[in-house]
This record gives sequence, C-alpha cells and structure tokens, in this order.
Amino acid sequence: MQSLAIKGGALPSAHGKDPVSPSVGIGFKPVHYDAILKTKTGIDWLEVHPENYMSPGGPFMAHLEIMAERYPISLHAVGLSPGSPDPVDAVHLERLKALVDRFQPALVSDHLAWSRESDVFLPDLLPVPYTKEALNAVCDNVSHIQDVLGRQILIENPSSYLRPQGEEIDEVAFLIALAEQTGCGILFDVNNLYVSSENTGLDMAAYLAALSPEIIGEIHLAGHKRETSSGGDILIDDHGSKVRQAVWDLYSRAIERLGPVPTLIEWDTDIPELEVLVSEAAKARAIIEQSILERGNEHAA
Amino acid sequence: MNTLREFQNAFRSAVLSQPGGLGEADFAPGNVPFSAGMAIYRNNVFAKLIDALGDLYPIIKRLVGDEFFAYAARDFISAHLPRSPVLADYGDEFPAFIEGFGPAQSTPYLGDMACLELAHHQATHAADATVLDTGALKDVAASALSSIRFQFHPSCRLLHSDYSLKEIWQAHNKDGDIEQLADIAPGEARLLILRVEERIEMRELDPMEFDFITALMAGKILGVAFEESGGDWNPQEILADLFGLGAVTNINLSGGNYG
Repeated sequence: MQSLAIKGGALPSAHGKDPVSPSVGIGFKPVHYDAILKTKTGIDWLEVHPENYMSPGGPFMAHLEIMAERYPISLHAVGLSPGSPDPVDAVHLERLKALVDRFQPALVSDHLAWSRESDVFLPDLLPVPYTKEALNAVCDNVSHIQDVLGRQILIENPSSYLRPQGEEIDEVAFLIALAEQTGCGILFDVNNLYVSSENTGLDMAAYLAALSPEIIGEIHLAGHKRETSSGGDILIDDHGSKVRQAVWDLYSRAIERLGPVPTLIEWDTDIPELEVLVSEAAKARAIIEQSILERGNEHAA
Repeated sequence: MNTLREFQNAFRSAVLSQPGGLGEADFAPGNVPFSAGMAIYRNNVFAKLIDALGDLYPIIKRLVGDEFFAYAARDFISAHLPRSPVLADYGDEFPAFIEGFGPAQSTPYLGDMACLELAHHQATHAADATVLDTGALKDVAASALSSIRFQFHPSCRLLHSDYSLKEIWQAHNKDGDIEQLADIAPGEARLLILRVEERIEMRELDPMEFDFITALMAGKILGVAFEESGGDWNPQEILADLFGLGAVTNINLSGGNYG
C-alpha cells in the first residue's frame, strides 16, 4: 500500500496549523463571489467542481483565481467516471491536470460512480455494481488518474437509490479495498451514507466501524429531501437544504470515531445567502471542537 | 450478473427510456421501487441538462415559457447527448434545433435569438488576451495602413439576422417586459459581440461596417476589407470603436508584428 499524502487535518485551519484543529470548508458558488470578497467568513477552504472551470478564459476563471489567492481550493470532480469499464477520458483528464497544475489544490476528488457510457456523458453519479470486476476497473482508473495528476485523489461514497442484483462486495469493503490497492483516500459523505442507508438498507453502524481514520481525507455534509409515496419514503440527495438533524447525529459519531477530518458543506440547489452556508460550517466546527475536547479529557483521565 | 459494460450500457438505455434497458429483475429488492429509483436517476440527468440549456438560453426560455422550453429541451437532449462532462461545452447545436422545431415555428426568430445567446455564452468563456489601445493605429505609417491585418480578441463574434434582436436582448437584460416585444417588427440586426473586461458588449453595425469587419476577421488586409465593404464610406469611426472596445489584440504589418 502506498503512503497517504493527505490525512485529516492536512488542510489549513483558521485556528492555525495544529493538525488536530478543525478545518471546515464550503462549496463555492459564483453567486457568493461578492459576498465572500467582502466577508470574513471564518471558512478555511473552498471547494469547486473542476468541470465548471474548464473554459479557456473569462470571468469565471478570473474569479476562481481570486478565490484561490484567498483560500485553499479543493477540486471535487464529477466527470472522471472512475466506475466505467473504459479508461478515463484522456481529454478530460488533461483538462483536469491543467487545473491541478494551475491552482495547486489542497484536495482532488471524484466519486465511486460512473457518468460515461461509450461516448456519451450522462451528468449524474450512476451506481457501480460492487463486484470484483468493477473493483478492478475502478482501481485501474483511480491509479491512472493519480499517475497522470501526480498526486493522491479521494473517492467519495455515492448516494444510492437502487442496488444492482448480484453484488459480491459491500460498499465500505469496496472502498477500503480501493484505497488499499491504489493508495487513494476516501471522501466520506455522511449525508450520502444516511440517504443510501434509508433507501437501500445499508448498515450505518457497521459502515462507520469499518472505516479507519488513516484513509479518510475529507467529509461532506449536505441536505437531502424526503419524498413520501404510497410505496414508502424515498430520500433524495438534492443538496438543497440545511443538513438534517439525523445527519448531524451521524456526523458526530463519525468525528468521534475518525477524529477532526476536514469537513465541507455542500449546497447546490436553491442556494441561500452565504451566511447560511457559513453557519452550517460553524456547526461542523463546533462538533469537531467538542470531540477534540472530549478526547483531551479522556487522555487526562 | 452482466459484465460491467453490459450493465452500464443497459442502465444508460433505461435512463434514456430506450429499448433494452435494465428492469426490476436487475436490481436487489430495497426500499425504493425500481421505477421510482430509475426515475430519480433519469430526472437528475435531464434536469441538469435542461438547467444547463436554460442557463445558456435564458431569453429563449422566457420567450417560450418554462414548460415549453423543458419540452423542447428534452427533445433536443435525446437527439444530442453530451459528449463531454463540461456542461459549458454543451448545447451549441440548440439554435439549429429550435429553428427547425415544429411547435416553435410561429416565432421565426427563435433560431437567430438562440445564435445571439450562444455568441454571448462563447464570448463569456473565450480565452483572455491583452488588447491594443486606441493609439496603436497611429503608430502605423500611412503608407503601410492598407496592408495591415488585425488579430481579434478571442471573444469577438459577428451575427447577422433578419430580425431586430437587440431590443429583446436589451429588454431582457434590463429585466424589462420582453413578452411585449415578442411580436417584433421585422428589421435586420448586424452585431459585433465581444467581452470587455467581464461584461459582454454588443455594437450595432451598419451593412458596410459589417462587411468590413467580416473581411478583417477572415484575415484580409485592411485595404481589401475596405474594398469588399463598398469602399466609399469612412471607416474611421468603426476603427476607433474596435480599438476603444478592445476588439484588437495585434496588428500584423507585412514585415512583422506590431506590439
């Protein structure tokens, strides 16, 4: 197993370089550009989808440059399609590499999902069947991405609505094997685990128990919505509201187990004022701080 | 179990509601029924693409209404699936599509308006370049003027339409009542579209100016471009405007480059 370039706490934090102090970020939205320039946000870093910043030039690129002068940047890709049986699209990977070279991001990530089938891109994170064949394909793709970018990437657990018939490995074991075989880290999306658990019956406690702190590079938190139908409730991972209390509870348990992992608030639909995202991030920071305090007390005792 | 490739190929067919798609038997029983689960993936794919098209073509969307736009966009998406994960690259075939879209024939200028919106979008995302200022032309010797060539800013686009698009454009951008303008009287539009710092500018051109810049952007020398635009008008104002707007990034002299 390769060594991990990034561990929890590698991102800078507003409280100094202490590796166990909390580090919280928010997804950067162009609509918040002016507000971020004018505000002392208390945020430690910003995350963007690199696919939104692949234009030759223009104001969006210029604004990201300005953000990158003020905040460390995390590039959270949605288009590498590591779950495809085919190699990663070479043109897209080169465009990502150009961004990585230009912005020197603190983190680079994508998802345990696929979005390309043959020559068509479907802009969603579609489910990978957890089989040995798929594990080999994802390992090949992640290794290739890391080789081309010259750095470690993180892979995020997806939100699931349907699970393919005949899977051979459970999700968390799939992710751990991927990390062991490629040296990638895991981006643990706590909301996705909650959504997948409600929708497909994943065992959250077992999942959390299987994860070890060394392979987790980042945590994501977001809102989801609940749709009630005659067949029962479906949770939809729409990133369109505050983090639900049940997800905060799961997050507290995750931080207790995994330590002060850098944590990001995502919000992609019905985007509110910047201060709403900032206050969600502050809530995450408070949970990490509380956990550090409790750990300290345990040590003292 | 299918191979990974077979699974994804059939999943794609199911998402796109095409024959040969995965069915209920291909998924493990869970809390989400197959049809509801597949509908979420399908909705995610189409909603993201419809939104991307709506962001690129906001005036078309306003002119035809959200519901009709989504209906047209679905038709377009099924025939033009994305070939790249970069959504800013998606939708450049939409103007031709909407122009030929049967249910939209009562508004004949939709195709041209979509071309204008696409030009706006492309100008927004075009490469950055350092531009020459107004003084640059004064440094060219009078004897060399007719044989110089201009390099234009990568954002520059020219557009000609048989409809007066600019009124609708301006009304939209001032949050005006564009619906009132939907029945515009026919009237031509000749426009130069480019990015000036972070804004998109449109300059209306008269026919001579339009032919002149068309020739210059095709790489013709100034003297030839002037001839092709009729040759009996004064190009001073448009030349000053080209430099004033920052449309020119370089002047190529026959023996080398300026600047």
